[in-house]
Amino acid sequence: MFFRVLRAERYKLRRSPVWLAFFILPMFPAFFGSVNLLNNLGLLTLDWANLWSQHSLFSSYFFYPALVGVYCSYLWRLEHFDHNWNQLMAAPVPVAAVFFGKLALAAAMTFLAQAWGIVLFAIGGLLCGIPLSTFPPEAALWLLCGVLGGIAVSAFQLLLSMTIRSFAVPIGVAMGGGVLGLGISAKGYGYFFPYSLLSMGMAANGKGDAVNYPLFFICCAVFIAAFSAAAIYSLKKRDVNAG
Amino acid sequence: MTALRMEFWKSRRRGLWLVCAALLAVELLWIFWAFHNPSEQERQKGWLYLLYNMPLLNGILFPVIGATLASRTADIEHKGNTLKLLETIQPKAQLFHAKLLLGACHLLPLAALQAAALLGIGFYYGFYGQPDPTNYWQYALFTFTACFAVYALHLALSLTIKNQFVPLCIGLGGSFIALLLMFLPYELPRLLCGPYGFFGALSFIYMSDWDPKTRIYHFLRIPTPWGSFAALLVWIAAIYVFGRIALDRKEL
Repeated sequence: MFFRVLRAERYKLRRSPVWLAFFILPMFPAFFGSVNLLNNLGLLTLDWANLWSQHSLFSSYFFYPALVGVYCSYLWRLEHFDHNWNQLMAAPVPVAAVFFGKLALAAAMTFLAQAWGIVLFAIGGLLCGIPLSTFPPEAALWLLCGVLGGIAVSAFQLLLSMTIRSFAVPIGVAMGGGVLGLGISAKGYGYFFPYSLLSMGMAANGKGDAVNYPLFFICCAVFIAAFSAAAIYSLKKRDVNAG
Repeated sequence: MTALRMEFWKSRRRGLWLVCAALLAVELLWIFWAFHNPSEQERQKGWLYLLYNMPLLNGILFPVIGATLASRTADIEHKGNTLKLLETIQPKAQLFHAKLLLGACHLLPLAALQAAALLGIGFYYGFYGQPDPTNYWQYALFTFTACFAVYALHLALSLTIKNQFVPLCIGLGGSFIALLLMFLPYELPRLLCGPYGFFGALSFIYMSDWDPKTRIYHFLRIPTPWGSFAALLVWIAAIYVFGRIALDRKEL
């Protein structure tokens, strides 16, 4: 049933320009991070670690949360139109499968965006003149943990976009959450805030060594489970307000 | 006035004030986090430091928030498919004007509250010296105008394009353009990259003599950038013309 729901979700996204945003928008932080590194060579050395700190600093706090927010809003947009909520809730599929179908698509898009970000990081490094032979193998860990943090954010954003009948407001929340995540992780409470988990997972600002990875994985799993459970409970219990 | 009153009725329970309040709350939380224990240097330079930092925060956050506000205002027409009906009772231009004014009615208090909050924070932390009132009314004026330009652009986009994904993504790109332009040492690109660069171009506090070793810096009050303000007014006029033409040509 889950795979049939997933296929239906994919059909809903056919011919949508959503992939274009995930292709174009990561170029902004990549370009900006590379230019910023070259402009600050007196303070920073030209290596992969410093380049990643510049790439990930702005993208993880300001950019990826909002991008995930845009995608999650888009995934629920069709349901909020006309009387589609009635159709969805009357369909002979478990509501858990509906939510997890959307979460799976959000996870896949998060993975693609992060992987594209790593490719842009490598291209940026090569263009800056950093030898590819010294490319950090930790990049795979940054990718994996960034995706996990991204799924935790996606679960929360999907819950928000499902509850709030607005395309734009959850995106504003994501932007604010990303900015607050910077302050909260600086205070040392980042494990308890999903937006901070995204930046911590990406080892933003070169702080990968400071991350307690077992705790990070546990927190991501708890957030994903808690937000999914809240969304599914809401879908089961709350009366539909369609139209 | 009737059209504006109708827009206020339509915006009831749509949380426009809440979006503005959320922006202000995030910015104030950020400042309180940055200033929770001000050093002697921060107390000395606090007044100018806040005026230097706030346009940076606005530049990062407002393109998305402005796109959100505009989308909330315009999407109601797409969802209810009301544009066709509205055209039979009011000219398209009147609808556009009313929605622009609705945004201005929200952005003006936001800019004034930002300026007041900066003053309040300064007095709360006991910054040294007295704040210059000119800095604060000019800050409010420039913030309002830059925010209004971004809102106007996104309103035109949100009314023209039914899929709100597109204007929101443009807003997200705008945030990065604003951030990027603030770090560039050149003035001209800030004036040419749409309304997003004006958060930086209209900032009249300049950081100088920053020593990365001692972390000592100075702030300079540069002459008020009235030329950049005039350029922003030209952008607003261009956005208005674009919005009118796009809405007139839109197939309902």
